[in-house]
Amino acid sequence: MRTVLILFFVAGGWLACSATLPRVTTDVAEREGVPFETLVAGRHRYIAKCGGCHPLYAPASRTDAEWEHAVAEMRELARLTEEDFRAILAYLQAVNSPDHLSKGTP
Amino acid sequence: MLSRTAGVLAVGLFAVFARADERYFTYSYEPKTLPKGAVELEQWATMRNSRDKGLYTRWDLRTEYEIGLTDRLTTAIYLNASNTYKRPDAKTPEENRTYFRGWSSEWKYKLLDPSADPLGVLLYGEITVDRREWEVEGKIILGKNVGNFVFAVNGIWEQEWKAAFDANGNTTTKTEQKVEGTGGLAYRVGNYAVGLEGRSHSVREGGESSKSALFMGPVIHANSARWWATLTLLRQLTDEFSEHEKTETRLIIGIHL
Repeated sequence: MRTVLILFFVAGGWLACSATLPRVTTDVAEREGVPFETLVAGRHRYIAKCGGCHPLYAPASRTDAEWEHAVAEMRELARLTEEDFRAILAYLQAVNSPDHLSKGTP
Repeated sequence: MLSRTAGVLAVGLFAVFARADERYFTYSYEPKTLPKGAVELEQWATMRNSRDKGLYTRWDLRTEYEIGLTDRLTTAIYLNASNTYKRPDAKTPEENRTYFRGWSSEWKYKLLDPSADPLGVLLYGEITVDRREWEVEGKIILGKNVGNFVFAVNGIWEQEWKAAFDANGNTTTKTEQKVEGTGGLAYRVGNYAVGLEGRSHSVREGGESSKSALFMGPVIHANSARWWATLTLLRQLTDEFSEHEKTETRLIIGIHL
């Protein structure tokens, strides 16, 4: 029993020390041609609007087209405004390249 | 009796028409809150089986209506009902009781997000009011999502006040304290998840010494965009059967409205 509990908390500790959702930088904003503030707002809204109902998917898990389809599909359920939709999509499409994956995403 | 049965049936039937935030565990909460304006309905059913003497089965039904007030703060209201069947031995007549157990008000505030921050943290408070009972419950909820893994740990403290009447009609108040720790680890595969969940529960009534039990068992989860369902089967690993049952099974169905 003790072994199970120790393994359980070690697993939790490992997960807690693991990587987090990628942050945006001015370099990324410049590369994507999107205002830096829009990407920051997009990350914030992705956490707030999507993370409330389900674990957040790693941005690198989908292509630009797949993200557009996925966010559009959830728009009504998550009560996303036009501004939310645009900012979340811009963020996900800006940080879904493989170099973000290699840095570790949830 | 008829009105109590009708109350339990109403709570149960409500689930059929209901729709609710994905939970990967049924005893452990994850540190997340509904987005502002989102509404969910959840139906809980918990079956507890076997105590130390004869036959014992208890059903607890809870119907929850939850709303996101801000992106970090949610509130919910619960309607609670129970059915208890007891028959300690062949000579004792069976007891089968169905009763409404009041309503609860739940408040959750998310401090840190389990996907975006190194560790998700949420504060939880709940008040339950019945005709003769009051309960106050506080929880600290920790969790983390990494890849397909979901991890959650809850620390729970509960204080209960019960009004009791003696033969002379005098009222006395009994108090009960409960301390509980729960935890779960699940792995997601598409729209499904499997994992392990555990629960440690201690109860102390008045000045008596506390009675503790440890439970553990599998959890399975399925979801779509509009609904989700999670089932946990727990078995007691200790031998405390006066206040705790040998097995507990909990199903929660949630529907986004």
